[in-house]
Amino acid sequence: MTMEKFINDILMVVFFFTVGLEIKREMVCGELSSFKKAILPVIAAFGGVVMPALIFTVVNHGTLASSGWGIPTATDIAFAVGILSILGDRVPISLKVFLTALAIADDLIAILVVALFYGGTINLPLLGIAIVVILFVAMMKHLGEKRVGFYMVPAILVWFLFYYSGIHATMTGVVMALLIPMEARYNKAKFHRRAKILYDGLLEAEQVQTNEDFPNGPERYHLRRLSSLTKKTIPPSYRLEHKLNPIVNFAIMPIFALANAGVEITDPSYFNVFKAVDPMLGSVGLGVFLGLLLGKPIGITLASWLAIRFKVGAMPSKAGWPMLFAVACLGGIGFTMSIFVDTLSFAGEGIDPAVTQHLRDAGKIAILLGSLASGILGSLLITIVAKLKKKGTLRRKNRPYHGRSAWNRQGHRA
Amino acid sequence: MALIPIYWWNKEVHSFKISQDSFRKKPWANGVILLGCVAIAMLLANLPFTKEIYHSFLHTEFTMRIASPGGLVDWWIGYSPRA
Repeated sequence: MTMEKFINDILMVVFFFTVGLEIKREMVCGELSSFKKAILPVIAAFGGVVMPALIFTVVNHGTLASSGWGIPTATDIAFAVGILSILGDRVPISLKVFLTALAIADDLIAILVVALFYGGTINLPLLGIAIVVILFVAMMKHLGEKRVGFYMVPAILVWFLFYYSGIHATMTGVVMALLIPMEARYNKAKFHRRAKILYDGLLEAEQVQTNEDFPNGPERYHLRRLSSLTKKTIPPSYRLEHKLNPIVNFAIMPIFALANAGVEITDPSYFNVFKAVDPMLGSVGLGVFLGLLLGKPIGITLASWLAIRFKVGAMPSKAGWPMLFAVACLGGIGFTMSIFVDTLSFAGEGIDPAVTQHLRDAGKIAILLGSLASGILGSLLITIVAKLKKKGTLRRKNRPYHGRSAWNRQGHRA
Repeated sequence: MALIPIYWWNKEVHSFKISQDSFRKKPWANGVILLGCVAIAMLLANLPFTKEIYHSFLHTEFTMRIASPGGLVDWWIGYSPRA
């Protein structure tokens, strides 16, 4: 195993695990708790795959580059979420969850695309065993097992099986996160009853005469039991999310960026993505650039609009179309996922390896430019929309009151 | 008098720790670090005197060793199906 694989296939499992826990929390009691809100990112992800692929195909139709349509369809969840975090509270939480869920759905589609169209072979027997293990874990959860340790061993097994079956091993993180229980071992009544017993015991232990200061031996015993009780009263998924978040944000994501963002610029002429389309080679640069910068936001917004228009999905709370479009622009940050598809593209019988390499190199630079442009455009649009929204609210506040309500703006009866 | 520099040094370290903690708690902190790492990675991958080291480091082969008399575990972890 190389260092790069260790970072991408092992460390990133933890990242996907925490993202999965967040999505699950939102599905149970947050922004994705209704079916309509939960289905919207999935439909939007499909739109975000179809539109860039169409744009790429239109640009490169009938050329050697046409097989690279999968490159602009991917979204890099780590970078998209990282940029969102910089923008802070300008983006409603519902849209942050929307983009995260969309990126996960996008990754699942990318796995399918690679497996079906880019020669990625899937070892079905191993995948079958992995599904059996996952079903076993689901049954364990259904039977009420809430000890995290019991989920770790199958998680490692599923990682091995996914890795060797040809599926991106990071998906283990998402699957296991969805299976970690959200219920605590002790409910409220049980916690209060036990806590009272332990606290009474603690008070009694205070009377014991020893040479030690607080906490003395019996007190330490009761404090330990209290600590264990509070730990078992917090659901395992919350506990893990809270513990893993700083590790993911300040260790795993920076390491991932250091390992994957180093794109080598072999030829500066690749930066000119708008050069004339070669009738034989096509223009990978233009297809990828336009696919990421325009295809992604248009596809995501259009699919969301259709879903909401036909009442299949529901608009995320406290969000409007301009902000959704701005957030959809961040979906164009394909970066590492797109590079992954790029490294599998343009190969085939009868294609000169030098041509393949040329197309891949051009694709990499276009991914870099497209992702950068999408990140900048998305951030700018989010800032502008948030500012306009704020100004609009202020203007409404300062506007003289002409309403029909019986109460005026100062709260006095008219 | 010799204690004064130690006092200032200690104060500076302490204030650095506090500023580091407050930075860590900012919602945008991880995004800023991420972008910083992207810039560093781009430099490392393209500067003539670092690109060799950068790429060879990423492609360093390593095996995780777990005590296994038959060597089965070593094989499973070291073996790469997609290489």
